[in-house]
Amino acid sequence: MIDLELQNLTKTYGTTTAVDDVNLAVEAGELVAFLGPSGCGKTTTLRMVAGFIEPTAGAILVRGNDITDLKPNHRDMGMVFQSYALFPHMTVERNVAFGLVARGVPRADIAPKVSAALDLVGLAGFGDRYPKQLSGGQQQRVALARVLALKPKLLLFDEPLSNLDAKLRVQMRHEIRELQKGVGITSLFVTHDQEEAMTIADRIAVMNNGRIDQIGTPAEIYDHPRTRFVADFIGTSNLIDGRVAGGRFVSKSGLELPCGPAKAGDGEAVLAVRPEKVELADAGSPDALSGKVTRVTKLGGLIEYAATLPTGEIVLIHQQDRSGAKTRALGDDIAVSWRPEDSRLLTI
Amino acid sequence: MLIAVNILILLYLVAPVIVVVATAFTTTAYPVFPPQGFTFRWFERFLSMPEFTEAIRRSALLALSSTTVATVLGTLSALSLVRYRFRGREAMSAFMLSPILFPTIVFGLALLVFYSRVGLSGSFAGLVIAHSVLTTPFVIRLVMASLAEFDPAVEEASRNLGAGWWRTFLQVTLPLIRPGVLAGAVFAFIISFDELVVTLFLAGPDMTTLPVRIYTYVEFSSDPTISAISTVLIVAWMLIGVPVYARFLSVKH
Repeated sequence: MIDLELQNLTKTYGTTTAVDDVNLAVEAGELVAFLGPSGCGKTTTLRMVAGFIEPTAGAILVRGNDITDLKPNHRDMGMVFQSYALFPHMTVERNVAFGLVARGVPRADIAPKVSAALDLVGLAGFGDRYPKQLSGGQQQRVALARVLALKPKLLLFDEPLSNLDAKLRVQMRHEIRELQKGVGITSLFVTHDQEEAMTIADRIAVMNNGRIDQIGTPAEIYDHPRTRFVADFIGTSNLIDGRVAGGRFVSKSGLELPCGPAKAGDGEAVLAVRPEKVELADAGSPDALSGKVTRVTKLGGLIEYAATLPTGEIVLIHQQDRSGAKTRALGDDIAVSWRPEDSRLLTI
Repeated sequence: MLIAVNILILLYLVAPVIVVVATAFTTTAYPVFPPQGFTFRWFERFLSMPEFTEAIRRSALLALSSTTVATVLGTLSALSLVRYRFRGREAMSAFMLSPILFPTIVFGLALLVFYSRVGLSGSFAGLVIAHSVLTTPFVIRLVMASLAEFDPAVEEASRNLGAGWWRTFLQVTLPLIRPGVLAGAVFAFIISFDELVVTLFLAGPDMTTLPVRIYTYVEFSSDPTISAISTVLIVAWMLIGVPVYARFLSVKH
């Protein structure tokens, strides 16, 4: 069942288009992350769904009903903000009760709902505190309890973890994911952090210049990027510009490189291959491109080599730093290769 | 050293107040410092003069009325100037604050001419309007300052949780800008209660406020009754104004 549908959603400010013809269908219970650099339109899209920004064109449907013209307070959505946006002059209990009171929930039902919501986020017993007396992580949990108490049709997350420190951010990701799965509420999650999107989302919508470049599961987005932007933005990619002719890829410098089947036919193209898919071998190995190690960087459990080919292309290689594995030094002559099926041909 | 400097500054600030309060109790027929003897005569005289008690009542009523108008208008203006982006917002903001910079004597003269055309001359309503115009900019300034400090996402959260505009304003926005609103109201009250120049132009003979009454009184006599009135006002302000100021102008939590 489709819970949320965005149809040709567009927002323009004067001559600039912040959100450009976005179409999206979100399944019931699904969590979709909007991922992209700042200014890509992800937050504007979320705020249109919440009702804080009026779309220039297009429609927003929740369970089949057009809510495009509904005021924010009639949309039955729960939003979690980057700044937590707790009411500083109210206790935790009153913060969580606020939405219930505003919705006219009978007085007697409010207290049990509030304490159930606080239990859910692990803050039982914190009801009398004021937001200022809590840590950032606790404040964001209160914000979560505040929306979960309402059992809204939709949860909206606007970079909810960006103000937390790194360790807590990773921990809260999993907590939010589990809470969301537990309550089964369809959710949109805006983030600029790809690791966060990968961990938390059922599907990721990668946004660029106001458009959704690609939407898919984290694995699809990573392994089968559809555009140069997606391949470049998610993880690390070797991107080599060139041309496709007769099913073969030739780089700008005239080097023929192994590639998978070209989907778009002949013409200019970009060859993308992930650094961990590149094999590193001794110089002179058959069916490999010879090159020289020009940079060695240790990235935690990985070693990143930059190999420069005689024609000038630079190829990045990621190798697990296992004990006993052969390591290379700066200036070593080596050879690189990859399976044709591990490379992707992208249109520009 | 620092303490000595502070004491000097404090003395400089409160010396006039001390002198005025002291002279209210002198037995001489004119204010002298240090006072000679001790008497409540000047207080009795002040309370027995209906022109003064009547003027205090009128000034208080005028200050309350104009403060109410200024606080409501100023708060709403500040909200729109800070929260909404519209064409000419900067110009509008400068225009709304301009009465602060305007010489009051020019303003009083302008209003006198204007009021005689629209038929507000010498009326209480005319004074309320004039004082509101003078004090609204202070309310706008102070409310804008407290609005600038708080996160607009808090209002959005309220809307998102199901509260309408009115509930959001009463339960979220207003409590959070309360220090600014109250500071503005206190300023407005003091300015209005104390206003002389514009009122001199506009007040008819039966609309005399306390500052105008004091002004005309000291033109003709110099007995310590004025000191007694000042003492009463200073004490009233310390008993009512200062606690209100201390209680509400600090932001809780």
